[in-house]
Amino acid sequence: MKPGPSPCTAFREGKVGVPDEVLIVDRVVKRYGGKTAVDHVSFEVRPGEILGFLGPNGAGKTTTLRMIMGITAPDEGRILFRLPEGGTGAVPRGASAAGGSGRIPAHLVGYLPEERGLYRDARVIDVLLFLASLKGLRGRAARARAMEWLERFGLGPQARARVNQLSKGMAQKVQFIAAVLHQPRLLVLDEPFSGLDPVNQELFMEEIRRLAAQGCAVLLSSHQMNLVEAMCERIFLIHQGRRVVYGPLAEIKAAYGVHRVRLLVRDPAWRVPASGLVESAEYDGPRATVLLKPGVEPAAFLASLPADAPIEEMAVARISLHEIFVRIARGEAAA
Amino acid sequence: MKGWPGTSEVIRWEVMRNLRNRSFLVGMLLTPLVALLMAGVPALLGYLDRPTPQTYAVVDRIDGYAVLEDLVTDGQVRLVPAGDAGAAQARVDTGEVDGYLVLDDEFLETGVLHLYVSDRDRPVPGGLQEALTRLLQGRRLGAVGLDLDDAERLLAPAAVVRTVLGQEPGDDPAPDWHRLPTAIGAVVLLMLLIMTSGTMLLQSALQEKRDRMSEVVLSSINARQLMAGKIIGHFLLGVLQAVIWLAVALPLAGLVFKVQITRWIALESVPVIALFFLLGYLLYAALFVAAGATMEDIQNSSSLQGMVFLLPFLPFLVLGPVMINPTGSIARTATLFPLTSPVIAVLRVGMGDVPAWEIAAAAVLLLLAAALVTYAAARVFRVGMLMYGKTATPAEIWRWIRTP
Repeated sequence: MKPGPSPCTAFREGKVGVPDEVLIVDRVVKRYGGKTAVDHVSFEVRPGEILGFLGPNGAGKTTTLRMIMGITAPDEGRILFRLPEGGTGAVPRGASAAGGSGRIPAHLVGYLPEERGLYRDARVIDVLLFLASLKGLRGRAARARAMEWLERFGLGPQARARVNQLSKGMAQKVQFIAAVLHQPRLLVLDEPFSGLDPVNQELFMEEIRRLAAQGCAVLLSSHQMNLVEAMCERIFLIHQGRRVVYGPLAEIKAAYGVHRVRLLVRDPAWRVPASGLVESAEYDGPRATVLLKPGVEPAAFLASLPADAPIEEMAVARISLHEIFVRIARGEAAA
Repeated sequence: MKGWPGTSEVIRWEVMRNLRNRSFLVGMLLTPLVALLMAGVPALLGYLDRPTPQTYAVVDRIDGYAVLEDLVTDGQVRLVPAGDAGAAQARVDTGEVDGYLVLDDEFLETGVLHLYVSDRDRPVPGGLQEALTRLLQGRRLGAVGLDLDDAERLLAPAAVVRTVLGQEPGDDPAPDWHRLPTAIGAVVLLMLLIMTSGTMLLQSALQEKRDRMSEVVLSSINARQLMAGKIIGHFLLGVLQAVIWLAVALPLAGLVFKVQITRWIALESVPVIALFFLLGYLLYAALFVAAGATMEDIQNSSSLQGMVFLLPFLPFLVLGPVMINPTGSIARTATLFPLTSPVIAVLRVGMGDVPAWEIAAAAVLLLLAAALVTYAAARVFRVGMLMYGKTATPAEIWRWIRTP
């Protein structure tokens, strides 16, 4: 497949202005019975970016993604599509849209749900062609593109195999191909890495990055923070149906990602002097892990230590996205 | 991706994947063969065990041999003339004939005829008995100056011809004799279609859920398109099956029963029958596909879902009363009730003239019921297809139907 024009690359190279959002989720609310599963959630996805969509189990991630795909309808708020090639549309409120994506530009949107499978007794190529046909891609073009993707993933010889003859990893690749075969301009991925071995994880990451580089907007929901951290420039963190963090990853890490100082000391009985700079300190024999308060620079902490502190080694790092996520989910950090 | 395009893709997919499925093909092609076998085995056994023709010598003392020979027509009895009882006995002894009889005045007087046979287990052939009766009646009638034709005319039953008041005599023709086979054929076909396509539909919905494909598919098309595609696709598969079966069965039936099958088809009743056929299929297909969407698998179906399988057989509960009294209140109620009308209305059309208003009312009620059930089924399907790993309770199903 020839890479198409990449608005993202052009944007990065400064040849065009700030790209418009292709997906706008605007104050969306979804209730089930008396429970509010999604509570006034708003975010946008831009062409060529990978937006990380994070949250603990039951936070409302899948509900939000299903609303975007028109599978369930929001009770309040708007979901707007501003895709090229006539890909504008909106998921209407109420039930008129529920139960399927009748009103979204489905031919420009790819979706890999968390609950996913394949028709077990069908042939791989037939399943791919059927799913492509639902997106408006038919005939020889569809077949050629399907074969191209299968070859790319090393599944060319399995094209005519039945799905139940595939290994789990192979089936996951076919599911991914089904989501991207029609060259979507917006790709919604719900836990795409779950169950993948490290080699296939790397492969998927590479392909997602490649699609984004070609201008595809990617909304990526995942529990695997290290992968999200490695791939996304912006993230949206949802907890109990509400937004807790939204913005560029670097800014979030700067705001929430306090510094952690790891020390190796000669005297296991030594303790960090109490000061207003330290959030917490944990000790394990000669090792100490000190969490600095938000906004405290490591140098300031270093300067606060006595000159005769028995320090052998010292390492400073920002806490990871995973730790930010856990702290926010536990309510240890405020939005 | 609105409207027909998504549905047509699902139709094509459902049809093609089944046509590529070995077990479907085997079932489609093997069923007529099995049916042929089932129908053919009794016929073959009957043929192998058919009675062998019997030959009797006739000692004719009343000049009745020629008449008797003409009257024996069933091919199971052969007659040969014999000069006297001794000669006839000798032919029995040599095995040339199975027995002999004597036509004499005593027979004409008493009506008793002795049939002398060598094998005690061999019954008196029905054809011979009948021919002797006719011979005896003819001779006795002749003795009083009548012939058999006169006697038959004298003893013929009364023919009652109905004329509706206010109409010219003859304006109330008897129902077309060939309407009933057409109606029965349509009912059999409909039941066949409901049971084969309906079961396949239910399994198709179950498979969609089992294979975790619902969400992927519903991200491209809506639930109504998916449901419509499945219903139409399986209807086409069912019709294809029926066409293949009929293509085998009809010529064969024509050959076996030596009748022209096309003469049994009442073209004038086809539009009405087709209407009830299609609406009946839609009603039950919607019920079956919705039932599939509410289950995890067939083993875990609840009694409520099990009831859905029994509904198509509801008309057969009232079939007896309807056949006995086709214009009675049970027949009329069953004609109007949508769950029974696809069968009962069609059968009544075949059995005689049903008032046009009754047919129209039944069709309208069936149309409304089919629309209502399809609408409710779409709502159940919409939610049920995304519910994995459990069978819905009746309360849940009711809530899904009410949820706008």
